[in-house]
Amino acid sequence: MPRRRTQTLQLLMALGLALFPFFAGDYWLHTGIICLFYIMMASSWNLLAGYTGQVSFAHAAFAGVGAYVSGLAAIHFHLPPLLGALLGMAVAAFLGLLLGVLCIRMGGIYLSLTTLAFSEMLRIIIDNEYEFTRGTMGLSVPFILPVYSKTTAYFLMGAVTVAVLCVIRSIVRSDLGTAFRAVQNDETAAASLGIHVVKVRLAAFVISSTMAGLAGALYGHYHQLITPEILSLNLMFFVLAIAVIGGMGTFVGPIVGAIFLEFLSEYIRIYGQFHVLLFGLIALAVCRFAPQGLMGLWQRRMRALSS
Amino acid sequence: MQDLLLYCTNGLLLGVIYALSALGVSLIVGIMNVINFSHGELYVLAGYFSALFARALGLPVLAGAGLAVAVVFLFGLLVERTLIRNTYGNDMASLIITFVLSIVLQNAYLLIFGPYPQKPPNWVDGSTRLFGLFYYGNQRLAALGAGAVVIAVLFLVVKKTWFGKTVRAVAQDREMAAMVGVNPDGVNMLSFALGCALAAAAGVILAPIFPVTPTVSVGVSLTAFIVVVLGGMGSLGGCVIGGLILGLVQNLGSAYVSSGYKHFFGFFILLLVLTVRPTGLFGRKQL
Amino acid sequence: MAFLEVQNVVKRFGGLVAVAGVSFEIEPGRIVGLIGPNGAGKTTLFNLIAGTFPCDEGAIRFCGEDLTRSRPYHVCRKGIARTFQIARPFHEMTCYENVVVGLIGRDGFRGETEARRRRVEELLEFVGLKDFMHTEARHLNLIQKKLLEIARALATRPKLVLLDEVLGGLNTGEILKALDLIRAIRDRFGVTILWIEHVMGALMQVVERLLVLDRGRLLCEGEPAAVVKDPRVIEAYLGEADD
Repeated sequence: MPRRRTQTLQLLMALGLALFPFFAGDYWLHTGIICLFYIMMASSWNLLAGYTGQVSFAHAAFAGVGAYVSGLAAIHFHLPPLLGALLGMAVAAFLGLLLGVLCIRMGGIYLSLTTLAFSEMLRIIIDNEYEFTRGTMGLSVPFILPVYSKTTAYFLMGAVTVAVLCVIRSIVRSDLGTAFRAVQNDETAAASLGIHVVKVRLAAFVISSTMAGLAGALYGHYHQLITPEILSLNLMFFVLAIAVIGGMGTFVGPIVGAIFLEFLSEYIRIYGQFHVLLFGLIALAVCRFAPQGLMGLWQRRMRALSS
Repeated sequence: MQDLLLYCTNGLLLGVIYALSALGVSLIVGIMNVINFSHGELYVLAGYFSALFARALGLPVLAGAGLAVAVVFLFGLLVERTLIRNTYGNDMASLIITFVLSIVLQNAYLLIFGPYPQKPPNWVDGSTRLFGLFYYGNQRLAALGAGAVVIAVLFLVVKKTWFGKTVRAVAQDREMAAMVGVNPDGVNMLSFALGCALAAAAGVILAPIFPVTPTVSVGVSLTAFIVVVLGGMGSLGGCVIGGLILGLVQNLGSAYVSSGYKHFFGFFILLLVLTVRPTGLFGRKQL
Repeated sequence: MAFLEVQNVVKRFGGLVAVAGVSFEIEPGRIVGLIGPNGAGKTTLFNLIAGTFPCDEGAIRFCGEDLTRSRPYHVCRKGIARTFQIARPFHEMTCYENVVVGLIGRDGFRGETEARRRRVEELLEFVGLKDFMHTEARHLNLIQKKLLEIARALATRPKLVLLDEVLGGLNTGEILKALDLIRAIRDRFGVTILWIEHVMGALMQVVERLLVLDRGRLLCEGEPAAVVKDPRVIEAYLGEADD
């Protein structure tokens, strides 16, 4: 795509994003904020899974870490939510580093299993330590801003999402991003060229977990209620399905996937519990017939048109 | 003393079933290098079917159980053919597909069978006094026996039959096996379905004792993964030992430490093994 | 101080002894051939030097440094680059990016600069892939993939390159070009070359020394012309023909 057109498109999207609250009702504003959360989650998971080929099942767990740390800090130490979010992010980064050091050397299936175990252990702890975490009842936490305003919350979430996306984009385009892809393509060859495979993978894991921690903390303070649902495999499934359906290993894929799924789920809400099933079936169909996701289909179409 | 023995007996029973279920995962990992995340859902499916066949169709309960296992076996063939076959060589893709499949199945069960627990009728009634100390349900003893028999049969099949030899050959060296005329696609399909059938066997054996709901599947899968890692990926013997260890640890842990943390112990073992000795207690790939 | 010194290295896989105590030295600036029947342990030896497998016994020293326990990335940063028997380019990356990985591996993440761009172009031009700069590696043919591997290896500014079968599947014209390229690697970049090859006739034209492996042991070494007349070498190859 010509550069000019890309820029125009970006400008239009930014404008649409900025004007959205002024014509969207309260309900759609809420949907928009949730969508921003999923964009952050799926994009950061994609940085790990799509660019370095490591499927982590702890991404939702790291969002939970961010949310609970920030929420508990706000309740017990009266830390302002925005500072709390930074703290939550830092703790997620630290845990990500610890877990990464433990399991990244083995990679592949082992990484998936270890992250799954970590995620479930965390959930069990939060369920059981209800005196501290309120268990499945959920933890009531202060709103993200001193004054309740959905519009301001939307702009805050939007700004953070844009910042996160910018960081991801610059990483993908940097030498580190090239190293990510080299490691995903062929780690033996990458190592033979002087790439420290374990460090590169660890970097991806920690960066991705940190972003999840930030997204989770903001999400928790927006909802004002944090439940163990945030680190459930269900949320993990949504994040994964968004990235898969949008197109893993592409920058735009998770964004498209999040918007697609969030708005689709609004339209099929009348079918209630059907919607997870439907997402699942769509994701399966995409895996089977279009492994590159919607972005892959789009690119193929563009190529067909131009030739 | 009496309590301890009771917990150990419970641990032994669960251990045998854990082993049985984990053998299914291990078989598939060993041969295809695929982790089947929808393992637990197949366990649950068999539980539902055995209840359905026995209660709605009025089949004898054991016949219903056998039929349920057969149906899941067929389902496994279908899943391998339609979803897994395209992903060979790409571990990540099969991981994602089976994970998505597990969520799809959970939600489908919720829709079809509802959220309430369902159980097939007991195979046997009454209880037996064990060690002269406590009474133990006959159904539990029957489950223990059935689990042990299925495991024994599986080992005979893998060690002695033509199928077992073929499977071991493919697990060791795929290209070589293909060169001497083994059809790897066929072996994959068959072993994937067999792995599913083992999950189903565990499901029909335990369902009369622990009724199935759409969400118990998660615990079943995770338990199987823990056992497989503990015993060494792809090692069948390791699975049996790993299953027994986990069954005992979980039961003793939840009795003497905290029942809310029952599953925690398993995950803790998993993290520990992965960190200290990632090849498991008995190394890997020794079918 | 020897340039590369391999001392009594041993590698076992289960019961199989792939490399059974091999020792040799290589002087800088040479092109050295490594030959031997199939299964003699040549590629395993490469993997030991490159750090892909750890040695069970023995030592490997390079420019005075002990690399016996080094991991592959470390070996590379010390100045040993390699290619693979079956080419392993990064398939979903362009040729340009493939070479960049080599530069990153050696120099760290320094970002794109004009100098780096020129360097990548130079290397791709040197192996004759300049026209494919922005082509993804999976679209290359077999020879081009091998050439890309060489460019990528040279990007790490090696002192020693391990080449694993470059000529397999090439026709005569292509072989002649490849031989020129291999000489140029040494002459232009001052790189020492250790080279596994089955195409003996071509190998003999370029190498200045020959090492012969058989069943995990060093059978003999020396002047190429003398080595190929050695009865032990002939026997090893004839033995292979008998199998």
